[in-house]
Amino acid sequence: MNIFKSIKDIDFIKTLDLHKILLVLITLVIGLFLLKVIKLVINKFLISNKSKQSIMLINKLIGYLGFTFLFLIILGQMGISLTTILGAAGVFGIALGIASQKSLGNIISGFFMITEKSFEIGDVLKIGENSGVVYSVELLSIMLKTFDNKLIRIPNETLISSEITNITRFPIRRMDVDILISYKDDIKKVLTILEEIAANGDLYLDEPKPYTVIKNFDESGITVMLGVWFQKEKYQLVKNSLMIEILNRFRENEIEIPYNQLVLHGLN
Amino acid sequence: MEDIKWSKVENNQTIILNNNDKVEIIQNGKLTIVNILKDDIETYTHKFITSEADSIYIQPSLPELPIIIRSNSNLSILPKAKLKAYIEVPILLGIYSGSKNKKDLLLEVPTKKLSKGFLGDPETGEFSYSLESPLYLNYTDYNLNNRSVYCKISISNKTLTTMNFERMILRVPNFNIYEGNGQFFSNQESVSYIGRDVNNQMVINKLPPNIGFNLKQIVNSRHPIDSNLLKRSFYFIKNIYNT
Repeated sequence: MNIFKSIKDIDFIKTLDLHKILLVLITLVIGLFLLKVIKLVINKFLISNKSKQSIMLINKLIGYLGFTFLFLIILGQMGISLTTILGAAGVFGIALGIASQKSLGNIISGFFMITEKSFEIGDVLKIGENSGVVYSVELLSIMLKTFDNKLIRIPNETLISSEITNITRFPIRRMDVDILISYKDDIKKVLTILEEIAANGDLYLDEPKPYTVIKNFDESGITVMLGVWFQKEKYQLVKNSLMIEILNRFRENEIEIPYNQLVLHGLN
Repeated sequence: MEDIKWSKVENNQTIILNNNDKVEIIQNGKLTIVNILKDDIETYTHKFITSEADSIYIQPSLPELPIIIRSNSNLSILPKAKLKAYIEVPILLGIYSGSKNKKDLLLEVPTKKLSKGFLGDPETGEFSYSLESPLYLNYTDYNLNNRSVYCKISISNKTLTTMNFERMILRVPNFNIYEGNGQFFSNQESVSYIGRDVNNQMVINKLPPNIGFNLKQIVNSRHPIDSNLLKRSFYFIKNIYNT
């Protein structure tokens, strides 16, 4: 009892208007509840058919705007004048702007990237040395989940000035395999074998047609390229099956994949 | 090759799909086992827990993807001319469990495996199967069997230039299957060719095709028949390496 009496005697506590505090708490609870309901309604009826990326960004925008609005209402209820805050905000705003140039740059870069639509959540990207799946798109950055389960944060400003390769943008891809064959071997026979491999494989698409081309006369042999089209999800299966098939067929037909060779001519 | 008996499976049954492939259906009370054999070697097994009161039925169905049709010889349609032809499409063997009026699909096995393709540009193209066809003017020119559906097509060249047939899409998921004289037929697909790289007028006739004898509908289409499908029906080869 004595402790409570002592607390009540503190000057700051004497100035507190319990009625106001209760009003603020009620406003906060109702405000947060309403914000949740608004998000639910918008997600269910207005943006359910949008991409995952757009849904995430719209939800974040609703959150930020909603909290800002709620904050201003609460300040008003507490009797804190908005004019004073805005006045102070002017000076504070300049200081904040200077201090957060990079963050603002990232936000603006983010908006430009969204309008470009060069990737979405779930796409596999290659950015510099990093490759991975787009895990989330935030206000200042994107998160990339690598194939060995690391999470990489890449700022939007870096992204907008970097070369981004979207590996999974289209439903099909072509796998190009360069094969070195010996100068001794019948090149037409090699091309026929490669065309047969591409035509008979279940994993390779008939249309677009597979692509075979003689690329180059190199030091140790002739480079031939085989390109097969496949569904993007089957990358690993296609790569393994194609390599094994080429090796097996070459062995069956006694076609050599030569090692690097150097021919020396002796002078008497 | 013996015709497939498209009806209720009596006891355990082995169905020959083609020269190399067979399907074994074994019923053991609630357990139904489906084995797929290639050259008599088991390549795939699937077990199903069904109801003891259920029977097993086999039913034909058309592939679940559209089919890209290529002619096996050069074909041109002159201005204002019309081609009416038949395409032989291999059936899928559908294995169902249930009663005569209500069946659940267990598995679909192709009687002949079709290779896959992708037609159109990378952004708006679609996955399809791929089939080469002689495009006979009469279905009787084919080696008739009950492992195929004979799809009637009609292509009208409405332009003033000769149309060189390269590829055509046959939208089989929108076709019903009809039976008559022991053969299977589908709805007629009619296409009006109005130019390269444009959406042509395509109509799938909701009635059975006019073959000369009565046809009875035995299977519904996978997707409802859209009478007018303003989709790209013809594809002309582009050098994709330059697009």
